[in-house]
Amino acid sequence: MSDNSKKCEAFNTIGMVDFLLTDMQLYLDTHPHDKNAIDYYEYYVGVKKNLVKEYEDQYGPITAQGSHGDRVFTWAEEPNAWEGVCG
Amino acid sequence: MFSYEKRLEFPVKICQPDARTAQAIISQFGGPDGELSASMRYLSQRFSTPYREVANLLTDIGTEELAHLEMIGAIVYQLTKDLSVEEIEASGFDKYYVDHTLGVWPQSAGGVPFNACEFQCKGDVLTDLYEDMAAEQKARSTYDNILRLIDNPDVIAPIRFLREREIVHFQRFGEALRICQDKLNEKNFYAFNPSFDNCE
Repeated sequence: MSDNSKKCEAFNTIGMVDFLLTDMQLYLDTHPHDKNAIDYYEYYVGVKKNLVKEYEDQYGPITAQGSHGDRVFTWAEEPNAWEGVCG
Repeated sequence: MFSYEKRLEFPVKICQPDARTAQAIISQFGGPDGELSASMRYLSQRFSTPYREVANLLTDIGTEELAHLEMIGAIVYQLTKDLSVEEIEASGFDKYYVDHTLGVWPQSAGGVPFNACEFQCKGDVLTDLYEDMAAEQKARSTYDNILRLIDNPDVIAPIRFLREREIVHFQRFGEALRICQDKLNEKNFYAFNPSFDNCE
């Protein structure tokens, strides 16, 4: 697998996990006492956090604050979301 | 406040530009039942919502609608990228092109500019939630109409995703309406505005 396809796979996995969190968040807004749903949500919050950290360490920032570069602000150089790079 | 993640909620990667399809889909950017309307509707209504859990839901769905606006913008952008003047003329996109070149501007498929009158913020939580449920159904119907007009699988996949979200949001707003109704007693059910009146 090329570096770029590995990068895109990692990127799209973050998208899938975060979509799960978006959907669960709406469910929990109207079912705030559903203990199983809370546990499920919290588990995947941890999963996403780790995936984002791994991605940002290896490939580049997802958020501006995840930018780490010695000489360049990598956030400014990453492709924009609408360019279809990892579609 | 809002923070930004540099990624789409669902991937958009369109290989073949198609201005005719873009002209239909732009309605979900700035048309009457589009994502700009949706996000501004919920993010405006939430301030006067008297019940915290309902206001939270409006914030969270309104935020997701901003991500949908970005997806629609990405679809229109990719469908119109690198078009030649000949292709623009042949597809009927020339009328849009005159005013906006290939910039993505909020208008309906018929060319009507975005207008805040496309949504309401009535300051009555029941009225607002009924509007929100109707809005989700109107957006779902619009996506159904778009799906009847397009045949490119790269476009169909994200449009289907967006259509499914309208159904989930409709369900959540229905639950929010129920939460509001449970807080009203049978004597004052629909008899007052819980966002404004203090009657018991």
